[in-house]
Amino acid sequence: MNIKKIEEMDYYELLSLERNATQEEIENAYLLGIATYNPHSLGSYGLISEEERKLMLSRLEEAFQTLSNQEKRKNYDLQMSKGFLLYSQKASFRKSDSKLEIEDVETQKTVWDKIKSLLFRSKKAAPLPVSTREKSEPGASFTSGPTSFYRGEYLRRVRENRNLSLEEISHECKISLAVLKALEEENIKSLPKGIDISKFIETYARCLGLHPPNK
Amino acid sequence: MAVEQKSYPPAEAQIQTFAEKEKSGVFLHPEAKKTIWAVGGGKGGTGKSFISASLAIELASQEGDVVAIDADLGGANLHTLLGVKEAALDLGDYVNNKASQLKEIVLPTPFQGLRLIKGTENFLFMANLNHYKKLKFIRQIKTFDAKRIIIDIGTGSYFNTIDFFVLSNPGILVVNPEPTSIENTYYFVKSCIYRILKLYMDYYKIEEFKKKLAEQVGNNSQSLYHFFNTLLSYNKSQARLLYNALKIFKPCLILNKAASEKDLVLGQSIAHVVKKYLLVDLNFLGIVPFDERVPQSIQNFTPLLTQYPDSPASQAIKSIADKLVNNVNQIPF
Repeated sequence: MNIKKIEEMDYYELLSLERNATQEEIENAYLLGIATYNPHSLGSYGLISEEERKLMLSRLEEAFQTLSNQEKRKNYDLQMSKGFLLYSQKASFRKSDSKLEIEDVETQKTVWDKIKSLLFRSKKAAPLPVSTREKSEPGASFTSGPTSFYRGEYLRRVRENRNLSLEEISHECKISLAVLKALEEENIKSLPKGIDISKFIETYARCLGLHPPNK
Repeated sequence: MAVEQKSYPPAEAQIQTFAEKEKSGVFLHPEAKKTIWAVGGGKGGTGKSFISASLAIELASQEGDVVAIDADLGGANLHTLLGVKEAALDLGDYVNNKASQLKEIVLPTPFQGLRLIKGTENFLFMANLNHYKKLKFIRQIKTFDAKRIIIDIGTGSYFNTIDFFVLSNPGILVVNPEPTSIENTYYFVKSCIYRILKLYMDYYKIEEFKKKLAEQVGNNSQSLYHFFNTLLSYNKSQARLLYNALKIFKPCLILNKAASEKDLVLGQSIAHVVKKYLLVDLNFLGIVPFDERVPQSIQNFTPLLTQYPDSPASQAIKSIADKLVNNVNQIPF
């Protein structure tokens, strides 16, 4: 089931286009949209309100401006392929609608930061710190995989810096409060057995607007 | 809306068929291997009977074995448009048990390959057809010996009219390029959506959300979004079931009495709005241009396709008939 409100649709869905739509198809779809939702159109008479009409027109304009520009479309497609647009660009914590911004959070110098700086200098990978709790849970780790960059403490600080509560993140990410809390505390024992921690960290990070590296 | 009396399982004959076909996605379609097109819409005077008669004539000339049924509860006209003048048994006689089978009241027409079941002048009776008789009628249409059946269901959103429409494959809406006609078309589509969802909810006993459905479908344009998402959070399988039922409903649209080629865009606009806001795939078949020869041909008791076969309206109807036969994504039986 794929039911979305107008404001949740991506640009292709809004214009009823395939991902490989040509420029001509994009223009035609945009023109049809304008013809349908302009204030004098009969097509939308009797079904949608004035507010809905305005919303649709502004979304159509956004969609056309993005998809008709080669560079913007390329970036948009890239964002969609990485799943960034799973989250509404109009979410409350977003500072910008045009792109995902990287949060400029001052990182606290930790042991891990020092080790990272060593890693940057040296080609040889240093052994990663593993907590004693993690030792008892093989396979479950905050320090392996592509999301090892995001420690729980870092995610917590990014979240707090954005004035976001765990409840808000839980609602956006569809991850339970208990799991989010366990991720921030790196408390593996509290996490449900069998879950893929890296996936949850990746989802949480994306929700905060961070850019987890590719696998 | 009137509440149906449940002295027997609701819509039993239909639902049994629906349940059997559900997995293959043919909930709304009859068992027999035929196509049934119901021509309807929310507003009177849009040309439904004219379109029904014209499509019937064109299809009969192409393939033969077509039956036109006049189920217009607002008054039967199909016999006039098809040149059938003699008095004969009609749908009212069938409903009143003067004829037990539909085949007893089918009439020949001047057109080879085309037969007619006349509508009744007793429109009050037809408009209030009881549930059992309606089921009997529907059952017999499904098993009637004809390759194609075109039903002129007329105007309005009576229960019976809506049921005939949603049970066809596909239903054809006829609209004019006027705000009143377009508005009524949206009402009609909403009524169909409500009826489809309610049929399923009755059968699968999804009682809790019936009231919510009644409240939300009428409220605003994106109400179905709220309805389905509420149901999704409550019971995913029920939400999926109802959503799939709705996705099978794929009516078609003809814009009649078009003033110009610009009305092509209007037809596409209506389809766009219905898809985005009512979650229904509306297939726009095309426009039939306004043509003064249409009323002239009716006054002459001669179908337009016969008297003016090369007129723009005739050409448009032929093109639409081709689309219906060849291109429209009809769900297989």
